[in-house]
Amino acid sequence: MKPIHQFRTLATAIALALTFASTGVQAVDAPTPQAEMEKQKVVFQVSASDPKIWNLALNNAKNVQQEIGAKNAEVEIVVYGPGIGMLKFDSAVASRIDEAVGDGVKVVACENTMKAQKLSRDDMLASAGYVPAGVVELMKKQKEGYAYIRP
Amino acid sequence: MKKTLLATITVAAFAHAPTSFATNWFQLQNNEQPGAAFYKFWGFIQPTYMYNEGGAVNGIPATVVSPVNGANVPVPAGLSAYNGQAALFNLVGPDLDHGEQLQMFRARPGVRGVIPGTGEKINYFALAEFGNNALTRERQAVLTDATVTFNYIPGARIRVGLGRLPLGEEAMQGVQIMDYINFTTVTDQLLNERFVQPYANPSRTHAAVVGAPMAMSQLNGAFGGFRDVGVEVYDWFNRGRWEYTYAVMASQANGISFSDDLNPGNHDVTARLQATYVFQGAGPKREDVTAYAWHQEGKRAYGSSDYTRMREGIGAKYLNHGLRVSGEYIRAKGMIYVAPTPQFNDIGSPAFEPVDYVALDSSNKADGYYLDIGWKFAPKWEVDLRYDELSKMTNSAYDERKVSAWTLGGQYFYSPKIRFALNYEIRDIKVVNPEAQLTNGQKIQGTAAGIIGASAGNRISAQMTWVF
Repeated sequence: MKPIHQFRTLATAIALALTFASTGVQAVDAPTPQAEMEKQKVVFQVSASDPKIWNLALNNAKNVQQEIGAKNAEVEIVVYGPGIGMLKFDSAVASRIDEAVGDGVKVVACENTMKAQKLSRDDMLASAGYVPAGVVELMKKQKEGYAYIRP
Repeated sequence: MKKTLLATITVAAFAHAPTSFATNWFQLQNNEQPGAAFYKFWGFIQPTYMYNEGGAVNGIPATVVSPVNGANVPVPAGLSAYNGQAALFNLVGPDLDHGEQLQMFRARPGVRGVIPGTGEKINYFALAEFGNNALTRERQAVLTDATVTFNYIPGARIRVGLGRLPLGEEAMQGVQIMDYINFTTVTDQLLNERFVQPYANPSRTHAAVVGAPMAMSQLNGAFGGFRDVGVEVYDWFNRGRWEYTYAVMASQANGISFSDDLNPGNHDVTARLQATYVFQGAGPKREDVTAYAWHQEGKRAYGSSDYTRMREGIGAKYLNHGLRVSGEYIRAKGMIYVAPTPQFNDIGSPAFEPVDYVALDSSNKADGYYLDIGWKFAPKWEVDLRYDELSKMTNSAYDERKVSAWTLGGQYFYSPKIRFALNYEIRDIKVVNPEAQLTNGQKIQGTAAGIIGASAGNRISAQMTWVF
C-alpha cells in the first residue's frame, strides 16, 4: 500500500469514527424529535379476583408513571373475567382507581364479562372506562406496540 | 360438551370470586373476607399527648346569699378546701395526676381468622389492650374482644363471646380509624359504662345530695368500653347499591368482665338497624350514606335493688369524595352517672371525700348530640370540625348540667398504616338553671358547681396511630 493511499484510508476511518461518535453523543444527550413524540406504552391484564392482584396492578401502573414520567407513558389496565370485581362500585380498591384515573391511567372493564355477570354501568365505578371485549383489547394494544404485563 | 365444560369452569371460577366487598362495622369486626387465613396477627398502638389549659379552681366563696332569707350562709370547709386544686376534667385520664401527659394510650395486639376445616363458616376475633386507659384501670392487660362467629344460617350470623355492642356510631367504629382523638362527651358518658357500687366512708364527710335523689357510689371494675359478653345475631343484605343491616345482642351487662360480679343476675338487650346507600368502595372508609337507629335496655344491680337502664339513639353519616358529614342524637334513662362530687382528687380532711353520684331511677334522664364535618382535601391531609353537647339530669332543673365542646382537628396520613392527628377542644361546662337553687344547700353546691365548671379549660391532644 502506497503512503498516500494509507493516508486516505486513515483519514476516512477517522472521519467515520467521528461521525459515529457524534451520532452516539447526539442519541444519548439530545433525542430526535421523533423519539420525543413516542411514548412508552404498557397494558396490564387483570383477570383475577384477588384484591392483592388489583393492588399489584395499580402499584405497577403507578411505578411506571413515576419511573418514566406520567407524560411519557400511556398506561392501560384491562379488567375482565373474575377480575371484574375490581371495577364494581363496592371495589376494595375504588379510591385507588379514582386516583389512578386522575393520574392519567386508563382503566377499562370488559363489557362481555359484565353481560355474563349481569352487571350494568350503574353497578360499576364512575371512573371506569369500557371496552367491548377485554381479550380483544389486549390483542389490539399489543399490536399497537404496547408492552403486555400480567401482574 | 365443550360449551358445558366452559360454562362449568366459568361458574366455578365466579363462585370462588368474592361476590361483594361491601363492608359495615359488623362485617369488618365480626367476619373475614373470602379466602382469609387461619390466623392473622394485627393490632395498633396510639401514643397520645394531652395538654389541658384549665388550671386550678379558685373562688369557691366562704359564704353564699341564702335564697330563702337573703342571709349569708357559710360554705362548708369540705367544699372551700378545694380552692387551689385542679378539677378532674382538667387532668389527663385515666391517671388524673397531671394536666399534661404523654402516654401509651392504647396498645392493642390481636389475632383473627377462620377456623380450619369449617369451610370458612366459623371465624374468630381476639384483641387485647395493654394501653393506659379506662379499660386497664385495674389491670395492666385485658381482653377487649374474644368472639367466635358462626355463618351457617342465611340471614342470621351468630357471634358469641366478648365483643362490641350494636350501639351508636362512635361506639361501633374501630378507634384506630376514628377521626378524633377523644370521644364526644355524650358517647363517652352515656355509652361507655361506668359500673358502680354503693360507697360511703363513715370516717369522712361527703357532699350531701341536695337535688334529685342520687346514690353515693364508687367505680367498680373497668369501664364497659362499649362491649359485653353475649350472643349477637346479625346480618346484612345487599340490594344493588343499598345495604340493609340488623343486629340484636343479648348480653350479661358486665362490660369487658367475663364474670357476673359487676351486675349479677341481669342482662341487656341491644339492637341496631341501619340502611346504607353505597357510592363506592369498601372497608372502614367506604363512601356511602347511612342512617341508623339503636336501642339498649336492661337492669343494673345496685345494693339490694335492680334499676332499669335505657340508652337509645338515631343518626346518619355521609362520606363521599373526601367530604364527611355525620350526626347522632342519644338519650338515656336510669343509671345516669352524674359525676364525682366534688369533682377533684381527694385531698383528705377537712375536704369532702369525693364520691360518684349516680341517679339510679329510670325517671332520671340525659341526652345529647354531636355534629361533625370532615374534609380530606388532599390524599394525605384532612381537616375536621365537631360540636358535641351532653345535658345530664334534664328531669331536675336544679341538677341539670350541660357539657359542650367544639373540636378542631387535623389528620396527616403518612402511610396507609401510620396516621397523625391533632385536636383542639374548646370546652364548656354550665350549670343550666341557677335560678332553680331554692334551698341553702342547693345554693351552696350549685354556686360551687358553677365555679368549678367554669374552670374547664380547652384541651390540646396529639396522637400517632400505627396499625401493624
